[in-house]
Formats: sequence, structure tokens, C-alpha cells
Amino acid sequence: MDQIKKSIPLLLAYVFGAAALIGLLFIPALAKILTSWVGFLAGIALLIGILNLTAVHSRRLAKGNVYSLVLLISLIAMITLGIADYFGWTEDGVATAFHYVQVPLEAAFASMMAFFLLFAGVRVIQKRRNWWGLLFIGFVIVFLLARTPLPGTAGEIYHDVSGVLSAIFVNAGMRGILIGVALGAIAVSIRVLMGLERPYEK
Amino acid sequence: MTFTLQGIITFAIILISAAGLMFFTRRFKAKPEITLREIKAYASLNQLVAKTLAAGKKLHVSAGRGSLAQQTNPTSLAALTILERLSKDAVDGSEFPLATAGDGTLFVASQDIVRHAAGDTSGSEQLPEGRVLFVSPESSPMAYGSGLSHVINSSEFGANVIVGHVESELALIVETVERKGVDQLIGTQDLTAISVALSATDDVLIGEELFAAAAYLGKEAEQIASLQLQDVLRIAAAVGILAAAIISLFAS
Repeated sequence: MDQIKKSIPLLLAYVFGAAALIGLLFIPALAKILTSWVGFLAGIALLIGILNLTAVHSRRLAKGNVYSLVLLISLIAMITLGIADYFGWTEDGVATAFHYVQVPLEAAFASMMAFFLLFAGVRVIQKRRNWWGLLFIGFVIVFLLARTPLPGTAGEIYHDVSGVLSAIFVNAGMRGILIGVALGAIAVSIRVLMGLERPYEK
Repeated sequence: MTFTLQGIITFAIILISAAGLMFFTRRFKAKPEITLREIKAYASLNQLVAKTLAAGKKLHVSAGRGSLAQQTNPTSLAALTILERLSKDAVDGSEFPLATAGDGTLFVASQDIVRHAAGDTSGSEQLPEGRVLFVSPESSPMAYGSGLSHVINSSEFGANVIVGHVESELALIVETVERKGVDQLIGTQDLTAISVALSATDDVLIGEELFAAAAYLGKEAEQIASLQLQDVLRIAAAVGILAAAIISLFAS
């Protein structure tokens, strides 16, 4: 019985893995069906996550956490707006709330990213007091100056040099990492398709 | 059924890679003498767990915010492998790690992993309350960054491990961890996140090193064979790119 219980997930992985591969490469309609099933399952998983969030913050609310109260009120408000939009009692309520609340909040956080990335740069200079740190400072200065409108022929030469540095060294490093990531992803995917990696079986 | 040249070539590459994987697996099983090159972050990972448990503190592990239903699937699978290992190690020390996830599919998988780790040790697969948290949906990076920062701020962790798909929001998380003075290990494939991670710690798993988690932590034949396959594919890609560059140079 245990053997059958262990075999079913593996069999499903083989069948659906092969179906997805053939669908993506040769039968687009099959790929579309499978993708819609995956989207449905991801939606169910998201719902489970939201229920967990609600449970955790309800417990925190019982201990007097104000932020949890704000979260739960926002959650109920958005669900209510969604239902109201669905029944036609409101028009684009969810989209309006998203546009006037979520988007400005995300924009505010994103603008703070510039400062956090600056702190990260300062940390590199503080922690790595060696040739690599010096190289980092050098590249920062080069690329910051490349953004400024330097005058005359010297400015043109400078922009050409910084362009070459960016096109060759920076792009080469980026592409090297991305090729490695792609190869790693291929290896993981093949292991899952062949049943050699079984994340569904613990 | 539509056969395109691209589809046929892709299928052929997958078949050849699968055959290569089987070949390397058989070779490794016959002669298991291969030494993996040292990746400092994996050595640090074991030390981090031991140090945290010895200090009687909790371990925080986040599997990122990459959905298992999207293109970030391989990254998230690698992150879950690390979570599984850390859960087993931490549970052996009778202290459950706190696992957080920035996606619904990752959250469900993380719950499963922690529950099984608890079951392997205590015989009861009852998930300890509050040990796996859903932080935010995948589509909201800033919510993930701020949510995770709040989790890190609100508890005393001995170590912080963030592996999986994260992007620039890592800057916010890293800043919070630095202010708490907690050890951290980061593994991701995003270029911005890698540069932010390197500013904070030397224990960084860069890109494909993250995908080698199963091989370095589990040391199973198939996982090590897939590293050899990656090496072969890497050489093939390098030769192909060089050949294409030389051909285009002479063609022009």
C-alpha cells in the first residue's frame, strides 16, 4: 500500500511532465490547457496563504497589535469591494483602490530602494578594503560620471570608454551568470522530468 | 501537432541531456570518487545552523517569492531543497525554524516540508503553530520586502537564510538584518539581488550555485551527475558562442 502511495505522485509527475513538454514544443492547445490548470492550482494555493495570513494576524490582533487590525480591515475592505464590483454595486472599486492606495505605497517603497542600494554600496566600501573594493569604487565613479554631460572631445572619449566597459566587462559578467542560471535550471528540470528529484515526495 | 525546427532542436537537447545525466549517474555509481569544488556558502550553512542551535536561538529561512507555477520554478525548488535540509537539522536540535514564503505555492510546499521534518523526528506530523508564514503574494515585491523585514525585526533570530527568487527588495531585508546584527546567508539568481547580497555577506550562493544545493547537501549520485552534466553543457555553450563569434567575424 505504501509502495502504491509513493508511486502515484511519481506517475503523475512523469505523465504531466511529458505532457507539458510535448505540449510546449508541439501541441500548443495542450500546453494552454495544462497552463490553465496550473493557474487554477496556484490560485487555490494563494487562497490557502491568505487564510494563513488571516489566522496569524487574528492571533496577533488578540494580543493588541494595531498593524494586524489595519491589515485585517484592509483585507475585508478589498474583499467587499471585489464582491461589490462583481454584482455591479460599484464600478472598478478594486482597480480604484489599487490605483490610489497600492500603487503610491509601492512607489514610495521603490523610491526608498535607491537609498538602500546606496547603503549597500557604502557597506561594500567599508567591508572590502582590498583591491576588489577599490575596483568597485572605480567603476562607480566611472559610471556615475558617464551619466553627466561632460563637455568637449574629452567628454565624447570618456563616454566611448565607459560604453566599452559597460558593453564588454559588465555585459560579459551578466551573461556568464545568466547562462549558468539557465544551465542550472535545465539540469533541475530534467531531474524533475526523469523523477530523479521528487519535491512532492518527502 | 506542429513541428517547428526550434521545437525539434529543443526536444533533441532535452533527450541528449537526459541521456547524459543517466550516463554520468551510472559512471558516478561505479566510481564514486568525484570531489566537488568547495562552495564557501554551503560550508557556512552548516556552521550557521550549529551556531544558532548552540546559542538556543531560532533560525529563519525564507524560500523567496518565486512561484512554483512560473518560470522561477527551478530557483524555488532549489530553495525548498535548502529549507528541507535546514528543517531536518534544526528539528534534530529540537528547535523548529521559522519558514516564510512570498507565494502561495511556496507556502504550501514549505508547510509540507516542515511538517514532514517534524514527523521524521517526533513521529507526529502536526505542524507546530506559527512556524510557516505566508508573507505576501508573488506579484508584490515591496510587500514581501517590508513583510519579511517586519518578521525579522519582531523576533530574535540567530541566523537568517534567504534563498530563492528575490529581486531589489532584498536591499530592504538586508538592511534590517544588518541592523539586528544577525548572521545571514543569501542565495538567488537575480543580478541586482546578487550585488546587494555581496555587499552584506560573503556567504552568497550566486546563480547556478543555488541549483547545486541538492548535490552539496544530499550528495546523491543523481544530483552530483547533474553537476557534471552542467559542466559539459557549459563547455558546449562556450564553444558554441566562440564558434559563432569567429564565424560572424569572418563572414563580415
